[in-house]
Parts: sequence; C-alpha cells; structure tokens
Amino acid sequence: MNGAPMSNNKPTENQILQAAFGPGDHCLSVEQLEKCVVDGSIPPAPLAAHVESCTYCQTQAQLLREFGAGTLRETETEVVELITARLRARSNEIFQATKPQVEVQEPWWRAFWSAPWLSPAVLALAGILVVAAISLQMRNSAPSLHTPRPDQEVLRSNTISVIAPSGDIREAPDEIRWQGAPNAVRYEVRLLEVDGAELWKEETVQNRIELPAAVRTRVVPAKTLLCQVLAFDSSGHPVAQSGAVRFRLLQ
Amino acid sequence: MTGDVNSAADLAQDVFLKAFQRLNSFRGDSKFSTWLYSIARNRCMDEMRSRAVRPDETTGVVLEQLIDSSLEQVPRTLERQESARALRQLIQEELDETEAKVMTLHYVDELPLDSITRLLGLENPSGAKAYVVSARRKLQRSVSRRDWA
Repeated sequence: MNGAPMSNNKPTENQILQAAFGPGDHCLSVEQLEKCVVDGSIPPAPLAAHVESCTYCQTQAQLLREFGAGTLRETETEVVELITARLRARSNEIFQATKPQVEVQEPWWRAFWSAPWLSPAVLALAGILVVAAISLQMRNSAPSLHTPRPDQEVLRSNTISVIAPSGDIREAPDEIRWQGAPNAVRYEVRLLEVDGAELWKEETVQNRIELPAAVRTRVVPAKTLLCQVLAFDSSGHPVAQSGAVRFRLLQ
Repeated sequence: MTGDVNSAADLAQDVFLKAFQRLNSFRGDSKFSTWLYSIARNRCMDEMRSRAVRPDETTGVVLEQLIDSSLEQVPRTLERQESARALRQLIQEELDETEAKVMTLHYVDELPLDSITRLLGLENPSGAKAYVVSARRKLQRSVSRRDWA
C-alpha cells in the first residue's frame, strides 16, 4: 500500500516500520488472545509479559474485544441496521444458491440461521468490522462465491506425509514436497490460510511442486499457512490425503 | 459515516457466506465468535490490500504529504542501527497506546487512515493521520536525542 521502491536491496522505510510494529516470534494467535486476554483469564507469566510489552498483540486483542463486545457507535447504528436488514432479506437467496459441501451435517447448517449466534446483535458485530474497514467508495463486483467441491469431501484412511514446508521456517519455500501414496497417479496441492481460505491450488503427477512467484509473495513473515495434498488414482478417485500441515515464515 | 454502505453490505454478505461454507471446519477449539472474527478479519484485510493497487487509492499519497522530509531520515538512520529491534524499543518507550495501535494498523495491517479513525473511534479532527505524524515525530526526536544520526 505504501511501499516505496527498493534500492540497493535495503529495506524501505515502510518495511522497517512494518517489521517493527509487526508480529514477532512470541506473538499470540487469535485463539490464544481469546483465551489469555479477551476472556479475562490470567495468562501464563511469559505470555502476560509479552502481551504487556507488545503493541501488535495489544492491537489485535482490542480488535477482537470490540468484535466480541459489539458495541455500536452512534454514527454506525443506522448503517449496521441497514446491512443487517439486507442480509436477512437476502438470506434465502444467498444460502439456497450455495449448496453446502457434501455430506452436510444437517444440524450444523440448518442451525446456521436459527442458532442464537445469528441474532441481529451478531450480524451487527460483523457489520461493525466491515463498515469500519471500508472507507472509500469501492463499488466492487459481487462477492466471489466459492463453489462447493464435493469431489474432495470423500476421505480415505490413507494419509500423505508432507515433508516440507512444515513448522517455523526461515526462508519462503520454493516448493512443496511430500511422500507419495500407493496407487496415486496425480496429486492436488492446496495452500490455505488458517481459516480455510484457499490461496492457491495446483495439480501434479510428481511428489513435489514448485510454488509460483506470485504465491511465494503470499508467504509473509509471521503468517501461518497450511498446505494440503490430496492423491487420486487413475480413475480419478481420491486415495489418500495429508493433514493440513502448518508452516510459518519467521521474521 | 463516509464509507460505502453497499460495498460494506456486499462484504458482510461475503463473510457470512464463507462462514456458512466452512461451518464443518469449525472444530470448537475457540469460541464461534473468534472463528467468525478470523474469517471477517481476513476477508476485510484482503479487500483492503486489493484496493491498495487501485488507481483511486490515495492513502499512500496522503501519508507522504504529511511527512516532511526530515522525518524520512528516521528509518534510514535506524536501518543502520539494526532498525527493527531498536525501533521496537523506541516504540515502547516513546509512543502512547493510541499512536502505537494506529501505526500497527496502518503499517502492518495496511488499513487506510480513515478506516483506522473509525475503527478506533478517534474523535480528533484529523483522526489517525495526526497519530501517524505524531508517532513519527516522536521517533525522530528520540533518535536525535540518542545521537544515533
């Protein structure tokens, strides 16, 4: 956004500030922040000391707190109510147009609209975050809809071991490698964010695949990503899959 | 409210749609609201980053106009002094809580200044811009005092 051109391979001004204000090795995940800070429970001493002195963790904790509290500012009330009403009015259209993933656990998604968390207050919470994040006029196209991928919901007991990348790594990975599965003739490799959002997907017949440059730029320091490999046999049926293997580029 | 309600509504819809599609991935390791927050946060941040390359994006320009040339020297000097580590120390010592949060949201999360103004409920006339300028001035003064330049 504010990136200045690089010169002599020296970090730019914004990169320096980004590193200084950004997450470090000891920063808490959102789940840890929820448990240790937002819920009010007493965190272990090392975590407490870190949060006390960490601008990044304090900022993230505040965002999480405000999302959870759902306190509406006076100027936001009308807009949030409007968005909530629109969402409710379009709920059938939105969710009927998007079939749930295969083997739907009916109680889960049937409960989606009827569950207490989908009260107007919670819709309002999301509205707060969304409205706060939008500042300029951006009349985008309609949101992209992720089509369901029923062929990938068939699971098998066979597993694939992802060799690399895994855990904390010091350099952005050039490739993903894994141990092959018997009877597999091709593999589908996916790179995901921790919330399951797919960053990249590709197929290969080998036990490794190179990450394109555009994808490598998405591997940024301190951001946890997941990679997952799915193996198919000659008839196109999935025969094995890996778990979602976490990795994170250290700063 | 200066934001675009229609776009906000689209984004909110997208967030709930993603949550709906990924309900099976919620394993109960955290509160549902935290899981939903993660999806909403990532979606909003992605949108902000995608907007950053659009021709009408002006945040960077606005910020540059706010920074006088002397302030440019702060990170340049710190760069020679193992910048990030030194700067973290200065941040703790020199910046107040709001300044630090504004800088984090702007430089790390790459949120536009007017979004930060509303997100943090800043009520001063120039909002987050003032905190960015103030923070950078404090850091510059601190560097000068320490004779690092």
